[in-house]
Amino acid sequence: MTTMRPTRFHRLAAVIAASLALALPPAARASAQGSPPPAAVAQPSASALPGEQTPAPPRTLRAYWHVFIAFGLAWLFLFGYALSLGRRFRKLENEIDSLRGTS
Amino acid sequence: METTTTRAAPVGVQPPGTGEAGDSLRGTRRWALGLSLLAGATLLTALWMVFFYVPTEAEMGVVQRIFYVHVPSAWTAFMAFGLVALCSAGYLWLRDPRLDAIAVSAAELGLVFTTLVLLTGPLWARVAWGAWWVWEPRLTLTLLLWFIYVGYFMLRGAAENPERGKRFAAILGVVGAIDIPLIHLSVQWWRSQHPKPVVMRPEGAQADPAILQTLFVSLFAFTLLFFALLLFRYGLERLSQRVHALRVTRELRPRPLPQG
Repeated sequence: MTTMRPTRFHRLAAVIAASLALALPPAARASAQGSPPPAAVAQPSASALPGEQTPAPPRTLRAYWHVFIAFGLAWLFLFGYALSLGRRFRKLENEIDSLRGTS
Repeated sequence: METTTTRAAPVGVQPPGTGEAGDSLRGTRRWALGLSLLAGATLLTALWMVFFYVPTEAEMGVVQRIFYVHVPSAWTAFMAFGLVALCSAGYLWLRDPRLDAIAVSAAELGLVFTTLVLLTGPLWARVAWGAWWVWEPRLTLTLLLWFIYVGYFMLRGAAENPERGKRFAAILGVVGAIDIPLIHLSVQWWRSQHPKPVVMRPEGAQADPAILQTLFVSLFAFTLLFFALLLFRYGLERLSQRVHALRVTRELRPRPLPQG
């Protein structure tokens, strides 16, 4: 029976870190566009009542950046995970070959 | 080059890639490949709908499009953790290693999709609320869900006896699923910043038909992707179980006595 090895966990953490590292430069550029005036932004409020309408967010270029980063991150993350599955498969198959070869 | 062994394996241990078990793994891979192709085609259709078909939402603007990756990721994560709970309960009852393999595979995928939820949500929130993160009930409970399933893997890995680790993880897998209905109902039970559901609401779905169509195609695409990845991950887990069994077989084999 197998147990979760630290290496597998490290690999997952590496995929998360790589995704974040790739997303940071565009996110920094998006932030550099400057924040919209505070009055136009829907601030989180502890007094918001259930069902209460929050003001519409301002229409800035930042929204487009956020959409592309969200989709880019999602695809990168899923693609990285699928690749990691393939690598793990190959590693196990090699291990089986070596175990059968030496038996 | 493959070598053959004439030595019989112990009861319950089958050499990998041979016989019925090998056929079942090959079948799993065939299904996974078929589902992956279908999922790929559906995901491309969903992407086309998100960027070229669905109109921009009137209130939120373009940032609302994050909804088509955020909501399907959340749906898939909940489905994954639901499956973890079911298979973990089954494993605790029947002690079938296949149920444990499905549970651990679904838990890993659930963690992947919950991570996506936790990454895409703040990207929307920064534009809509002006803050990356707000400690409100739904967000906090979702973060808790992520930590519960990180704990699931830590429990499995930390136990000295692997069987005990699996049992403890299975208990956590069942108990942790209680968080799923809490997350869903949190926006109704407590004062919450998070938008209310647009589909699963008592008065029925309330949104533009194009928005609902795009959402349903995205949900379907993510569901297909989940099952394709689950089959691959399940195959991997079974292969890993067999590698372990093969190692045990080698360790149990009587060694020749030293000469002289």
